Amino acid sequence: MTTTRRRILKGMGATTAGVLAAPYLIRTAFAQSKELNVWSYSGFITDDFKGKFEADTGITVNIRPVTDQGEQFNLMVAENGNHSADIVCCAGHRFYQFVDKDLLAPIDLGKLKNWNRIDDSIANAKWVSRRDQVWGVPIVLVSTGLLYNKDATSSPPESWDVMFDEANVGKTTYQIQDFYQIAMNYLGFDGSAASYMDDPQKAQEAVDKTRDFLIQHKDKVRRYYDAATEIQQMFVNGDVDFAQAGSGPAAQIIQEGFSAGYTIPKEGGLAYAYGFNITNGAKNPDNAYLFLDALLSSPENGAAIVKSTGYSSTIKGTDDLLDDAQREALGLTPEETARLSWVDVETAPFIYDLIDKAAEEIRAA
Amino acid sequence: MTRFLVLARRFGPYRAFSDALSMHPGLRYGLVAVLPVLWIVVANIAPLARMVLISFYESFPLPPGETPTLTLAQYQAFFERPLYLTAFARTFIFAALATALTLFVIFPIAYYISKVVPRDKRLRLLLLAIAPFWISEIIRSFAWILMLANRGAVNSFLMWMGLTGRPVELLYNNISLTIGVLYLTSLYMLLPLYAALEKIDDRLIEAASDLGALRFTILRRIIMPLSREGIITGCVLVFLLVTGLYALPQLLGGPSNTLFASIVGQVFSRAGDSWPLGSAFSVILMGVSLAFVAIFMALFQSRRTRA
Repeated sequence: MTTTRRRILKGMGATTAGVLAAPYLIRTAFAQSKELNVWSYSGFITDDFKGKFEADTGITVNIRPVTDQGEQFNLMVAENGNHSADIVCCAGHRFYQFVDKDLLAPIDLGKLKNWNRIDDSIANAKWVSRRDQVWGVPIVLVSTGLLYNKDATSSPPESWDVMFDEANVGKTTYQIQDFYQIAMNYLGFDGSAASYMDDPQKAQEAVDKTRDFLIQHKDKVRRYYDAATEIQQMFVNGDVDFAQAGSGPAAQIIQEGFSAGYTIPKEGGLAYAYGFNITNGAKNPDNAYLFLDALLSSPENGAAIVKSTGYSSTIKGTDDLLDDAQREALGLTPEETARLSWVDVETAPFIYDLIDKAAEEIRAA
Repeated sequence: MTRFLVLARRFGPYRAFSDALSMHPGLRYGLVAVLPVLWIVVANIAPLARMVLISFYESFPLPPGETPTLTLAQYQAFFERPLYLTAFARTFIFAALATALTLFVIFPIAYYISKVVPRDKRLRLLLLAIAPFWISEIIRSFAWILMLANRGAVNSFLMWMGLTGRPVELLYNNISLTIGVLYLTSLYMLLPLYAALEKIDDRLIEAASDLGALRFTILRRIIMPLSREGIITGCVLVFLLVTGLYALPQLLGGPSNTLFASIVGQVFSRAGDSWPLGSAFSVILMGVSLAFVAIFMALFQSRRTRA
C-alpha cells in the first residue's frame, strides 16, 4: 500500500474526528455506567431508599411504573432483546412466562451478599426457581383473600359463598384471572392444575365449568377490576361489600380506618411473591446487583415497603419494625395462613393459558 | 426572498431542478404531495398493514431468524367462540344507539348556538360548550365516578331530598356508560352540526315561516336536508369512536356491558403469543366498522343523488 498525501489527510481527518468525539463517547459510556433503569410497581422503591442509594453510589435510578404483568411482558418482547430496563418487577405466579421467553437473566447469588437476609422459607422456596436456577429476588409477599365490609355482614365470612350469594347482587368485585383458581377450588376442582397435568381434556373441562359458573353469577359482580387501587375506590364509594383482594390493598384500606376485614376463607386462597428480576442482556448489570444488594441490606427498607404497599416484606427482621396497627392489618391467623396455597410455578403455564382465554370469554359474555 | 432565489439560480443543480419543475407540472404536484403521502403511509397505513400481517401469523413475536407460519386460525377463533360474538354484536348495537342518542341530544344545542344565539356571541358559547374537552377523557371519567357512585353526589342529593332511602345503582352499568359516552362524543357531533347549520341562510327559514310552515315542517323540509352533511359527518365520527372505545368502558362500564375493544385490549395485555389473535380481532372490528360506515354513506349518497 503506497502512502499518498490524500491518504495521510484522510487519516488525519479521521483521527481529528475521533479526538473531537472522544469527550462525547467517554461521557456517554460514563453516563451509562452511572444509570439504572427499573420498571417497578408503585411503592416498591421508596423515595427515601432511592435517594440514599443515589447519594451513596452516584448511580441515577430511573423508575418506570408497572401496572400490569401482561403489559410489562409485551413491552419487553417488543424490545426484542434490546431491553431498556435493567431490572423489572415480575409476579411470582407469572415470572415463568418471562423466563420461558428468555427475557430474564438468572440471578448470580455470588454477587448478592445480602441474599441470606431474605427469610429462609422464601429464599429456599420451590417457587423462587425454575429450571434449577433463581430468576429473581423476592421483595414482597402477597396473599389473595376475601376483603369484606364489616358493616355489611354480622360476622366475618368463613366461605367464598358470599361472592355468589343472591343477597349480594351487584356487591362483589374480583380480578378474573386472580380469582379463577380460587373459584376452581371452591367448585371442587384442582385450581393449581397439578392433578390435570397428564389430562389436558380434564383441565379444560374444569376451566370451562368454572367459566360457566362465573358467568352464571355475573349479576353478583359490580365490576371486574384490573388494578388494586380500584378495590379501595369501590369500597370507599360504597359500591361493593365483598372483594377478592390482595393483602396489600386490603391492609391499606384497613389501616386507613375503613370498617373492613380481611380473611382467607375455608376453601383457601393463593400466595405468591413480587420480585425484582434482572433482564437478559441488561446494560447495567453491576448496578442492578448493587441496587438489589442495597435493598436487601436492611429491614428498615422492608418496613418502608410495607408502609407504602401494605404487602409483607421478605426481609428478615422487618416485622420487629412495624407498629401494632400495621402488624394487625397484615396479620393472618395460623388457620388462615394454612389455607394459603403457593402458586406452583411448574403447572402455572399450563393452567394460566386456559384461564386467560376463559377470562376474556367471561368479560365478553 | 427574491434576492435569495436569484442567488440560488446561479447554482447549476438548483437551476436544473427549478427548470424541471417549471416544465413538468406533474413533478410539482408530486413534490407537494410527497410529504402528506409519506406521513399517511408511515403513520397510518404501515402500522395497519403490519397488524394485518401479524393477524395471519401463527405466533408472534418470533425469535430472530425464524420464518413466520401463516394461518387463518386467529380468525377461526373469533367464530368458534360464541362469547366473543356476543361482545361484538353488543358493541355495534351500543354504537348505533349511542350515535342516535348523541344526535338527538346535540342537534338542538348545535341549532341553538348557530341560529338562536346572536352572531357575535356564538363563538364564545361554542368555546364554552367544548371547554370540558380541554381536560383528558380519563379525568372526566373519574369525575363521573365521583358523581354516580353509591356515596357520590347524585345519590347523596337523592337521599337528602328523601327521594330514595338507599343508593340507586348508577355506576358500572349501562346508565354510567351511556352518560360517559354521550359526554365524550358530544364534541364530535357538535362541531360538524354547528358548521352545517351555520351555513343555512336564515332568510330561507324566515321565508318558510312567513309562508305559514309549521316549525316541525321547517325542521323536516329545510333544516334537516340542508344540514345533512353535518349529520352524516357527526354520525360517522361518533359511530367509529364508540366502536373503538377502550378506556371509558373500562372505567364506567360494568361486567355485562363490555365492548369489543376492551376484549381486544385484554387479549393484547395477555402475556404470551396473543398478538396474532389481538390483531385478528382488531382487523375484524375495523373491517366491520368501516363496512357499516360505507353502507351508511352509500345510503346517504343515493338519497342525495335522488334529491
